[in-house]
Amino acid sequence: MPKEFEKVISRSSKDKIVQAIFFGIATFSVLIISFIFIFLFIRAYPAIEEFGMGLLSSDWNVSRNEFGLFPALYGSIFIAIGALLVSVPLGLGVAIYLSEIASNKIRMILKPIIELLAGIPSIVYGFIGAILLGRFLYDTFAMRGVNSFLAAMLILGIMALPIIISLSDDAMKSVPKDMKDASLALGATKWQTIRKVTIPGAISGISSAVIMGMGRAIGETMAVMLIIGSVMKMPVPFFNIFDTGNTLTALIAVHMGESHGIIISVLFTAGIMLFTIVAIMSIISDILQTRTKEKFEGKR
Amino acid sequence: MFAKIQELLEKESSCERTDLPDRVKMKVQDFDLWYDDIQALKSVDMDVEENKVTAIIGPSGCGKSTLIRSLNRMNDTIPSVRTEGKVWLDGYNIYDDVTDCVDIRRKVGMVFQKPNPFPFSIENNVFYGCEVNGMDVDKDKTVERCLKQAAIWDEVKDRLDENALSLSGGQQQRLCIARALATEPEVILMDEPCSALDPIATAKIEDLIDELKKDYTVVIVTHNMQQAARVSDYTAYMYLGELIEFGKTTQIFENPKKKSTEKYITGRFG
Amino acid sequence: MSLRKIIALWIFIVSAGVAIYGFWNLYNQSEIGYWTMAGSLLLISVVCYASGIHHHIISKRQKGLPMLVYGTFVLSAAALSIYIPNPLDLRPWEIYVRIPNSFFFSLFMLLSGLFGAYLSFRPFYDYKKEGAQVGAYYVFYLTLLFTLFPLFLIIFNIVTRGMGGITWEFLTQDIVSMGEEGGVFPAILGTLAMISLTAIIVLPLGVGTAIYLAEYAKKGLAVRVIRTAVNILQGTPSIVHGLFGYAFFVLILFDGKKCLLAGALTLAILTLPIVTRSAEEALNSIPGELRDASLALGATKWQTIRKMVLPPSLPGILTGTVLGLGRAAGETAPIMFTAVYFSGAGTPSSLLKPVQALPYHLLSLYRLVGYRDVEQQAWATALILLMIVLGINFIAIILREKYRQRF
Ligand SMILES: Nc1ncnc2c1ncn2[C@@H]1O[C@H](COP(=O)(O)OP(=O)(O)OP(=O)(O)O)[C@@H](O)[C@H]1O
Ligand SMILES: [Mg+2]
Repeated sequence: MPKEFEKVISRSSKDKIVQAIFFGIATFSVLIISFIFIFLFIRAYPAIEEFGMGLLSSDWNVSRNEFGLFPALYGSIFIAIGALLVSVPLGLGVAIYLSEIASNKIRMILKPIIELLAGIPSIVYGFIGAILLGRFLYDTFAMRGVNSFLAAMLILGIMALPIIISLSDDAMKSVPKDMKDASLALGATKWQTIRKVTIPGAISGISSAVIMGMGRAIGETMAVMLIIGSVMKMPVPFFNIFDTGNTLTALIAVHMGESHGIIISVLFTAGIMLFTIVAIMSIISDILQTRTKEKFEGKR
Repeated sequence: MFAKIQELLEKESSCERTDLPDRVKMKVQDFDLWYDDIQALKSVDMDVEENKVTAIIGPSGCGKSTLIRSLNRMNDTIPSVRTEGKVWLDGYNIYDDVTDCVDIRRKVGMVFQKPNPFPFSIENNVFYGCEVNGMDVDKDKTVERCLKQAAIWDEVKDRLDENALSLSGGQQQRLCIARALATEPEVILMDEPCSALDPIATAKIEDLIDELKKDYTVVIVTHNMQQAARVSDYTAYMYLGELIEFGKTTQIFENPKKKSTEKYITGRFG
Repeated sequence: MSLRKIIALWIFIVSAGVAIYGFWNLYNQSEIGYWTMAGSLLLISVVCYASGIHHHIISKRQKGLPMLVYGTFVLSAAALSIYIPNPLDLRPWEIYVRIPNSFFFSLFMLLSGLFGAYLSFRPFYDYKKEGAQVGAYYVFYLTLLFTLFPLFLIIFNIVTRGMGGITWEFLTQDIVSMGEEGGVFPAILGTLAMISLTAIIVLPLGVGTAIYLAEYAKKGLAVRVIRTAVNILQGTPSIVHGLFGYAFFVLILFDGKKCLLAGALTLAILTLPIVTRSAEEALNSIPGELRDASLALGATKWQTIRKMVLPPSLPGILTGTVLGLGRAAGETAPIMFTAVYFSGAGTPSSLLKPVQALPYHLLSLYRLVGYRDVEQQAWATALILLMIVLGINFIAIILREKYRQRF
């Protein structure tokens, strides 16, 4: 009896060890996030110390040692908003179609096709955007060059589509079917049900999808870099979608390879800004997503 | 594609009609239903009398829900469903191609097994049906009438703008009944409306059903035979997709004609 | 067959025709004259008027009003647009574009056609709820169309333009004179080597994290923190991964030298959340009774996981990993500062040497377009990259389908 007991104890204590190992592995992600922040900060510190708030000004002049990042920050947000104007209406339409209207068979065909859109590498989007779309807009509008915010917004709009579609699709699927049934049983059409029950029920999940799409657009690097041209200036006037400009991502990607000393440090500061913005967006979107789920799970 | 347009263009002809016997509100006639290849209803025939309560009983999986969902074409929301046969409502075939199932559902309301209020306020829940059907009625009056009819007015009259999900299960179910009454239906279908409720809430709903039959025709699915005996005037007994026996409740319970019915009623089917 | 329906059908046909014609002209940048546009819009307004008048006056119902309004609107838009200067020069406002009339005209045709078609459903369904529903469906089909169209354009262009450049030599030779001659063999090899290494690094980490989250701890502060970290990691821009890889792996671990291993480590961090999430999903899809049954027989938790839970969820885990690798294969920013040289790296020989990779090679080629004759090579490289990435995704989808059938 005691002997068998011993065996049980040793087996279960082994189980404890295994659990500890898995816990160790699981903390890796937390570790990496902290490391990213710490190491970015270490490299960014010299610039922050030297320029302080000057980093947020809009004057960028390498020879005069002025490194204001505002134009790039502005460009990132400007492009992301433009991209959302393209991708939110399209993405929501497709998501509603996929989750509420399409038959199972069509859904099975369409989902992988839309995943295909996510599978195309961003450098390929950038290449196509610069070579084909850039030239197309240049010809149509007789612009000064092939690079423009407009082209970047259009391409990023397409690139943000898959994530918006798949997250809003999930959100609408999480609205319980018996709620939709109740609406249909009251004589509502499918479209009325979508408009009045499904979309309001999924609204926080949908907002989370939009935020994630925006995060994706802000963080996108290669495509933007090739299309926007990476000229460190504000668009003139500030809403001019035909002008060129810069984004945080493109700034880093272009200058990292060919700079030295303090500029590298400035680029790391840009990296921290980027990381912080996107991390906050991830957290907000995460909270919104959980809220959708809890809304219907906590019901009964 | 072209055939579809042609069909849509010609969909003007009128709905198939018949004369139903007096006092018969709905009539199910030789009705079959398949989920893909599985036949869930096998040539069912049944009359639903006006201002009476008709109960459908039978063992689990026999097709009770399927049958009751056929009465307002809710089965149309399941893609794999295929039907044959007719269901008459006031002499109109609701399975005719020209009938709009959205109109049918307005006339034939439904209450589900689990209370399923929408996640908005109590009054908006009740008014939803009027809103989607574009009914030109006064909101406050409608809400009050329906909540009173569903015997829940006194409990919620001070909190009409509160989220409906904050109500208790039994209250939620009565709210769902109120919601179904708002579209001024003529028939109300209830699929095991009490199975998620405690005995006190159940008793309230049963009293309510008794009240409702003055103004409406009620069809109810139930697992609970006492309940069927208590509230219904007519009872249909189903088994494996077939309607085995249909008649006055007293007759079904006191002297069933079929062996299978008797076995079920005396409790020999689990 | 009523007159109302026939008119509605005509509205649809005319509008759709005008919309398609407008889109076609927009796409081809063709010159459109004022009268072509005005004529098309006139057609739309005529059919709209017909429907509106029929409803409003003949049937004496109020519902035809939107049609009359729209007809008038289209007509006046057509009339007023004669005042649009050709080209519309925005340079006085410091916006350096000149928009030709054709652009506006094509756009008008496209938009008014699309909206006209949308309006046609209401009279067709006699202004019932159903008409609004079909109209909404029409909008959804349009969004689908406008989503699939760019996808089609991208794939079509890459395939047709890249095809010509793909020869046996291109696939198997070294990169010569910065890609103008020779092939892309080292870049293909570099990419494949890098993602294989990434797979080896990320698999234990991702699956381990998933096992902890799905099997050991479902709630609690630690889990919340880990989950949040995974989510943040998933949203982190790839360029930030690149910066981190440079700051940590290159500068600290490898003495300031770019190398294959540094690139693979960075890509492993990039793919970690993808692998974790899909592995967790796969584990969660295993029914709980299976675990209970095993535990009730006296198995320890770890035995249960190893014997009952992991084997059936393996296809799901693999699918997620493969998807993550597909993403990694196409990434440029994370490897740009950590692993790749744009020429002269040769075929990968050691974990501690820099390599070449397809996405970065495409970037290098793009930078030469216009200076040297490399556009054909760039398209071919893009095609190869696309084929590798989509091939990987295809494997993942096949895995997933197989996995679906099992449950
Ligand atoms: N959506 C569906 N797809 C396929 N088969 C279905 C579907 N719904 C029900 N069925 C099948 O049809 C038969 C009848 O189901 P139904 O739900 O009508 O039974 P029920 O009498 O209501 O049972 P319960 O008392 O358990 O609610 C069952 O065999 C069931 O498996
Ligand atoms: Mg049932």
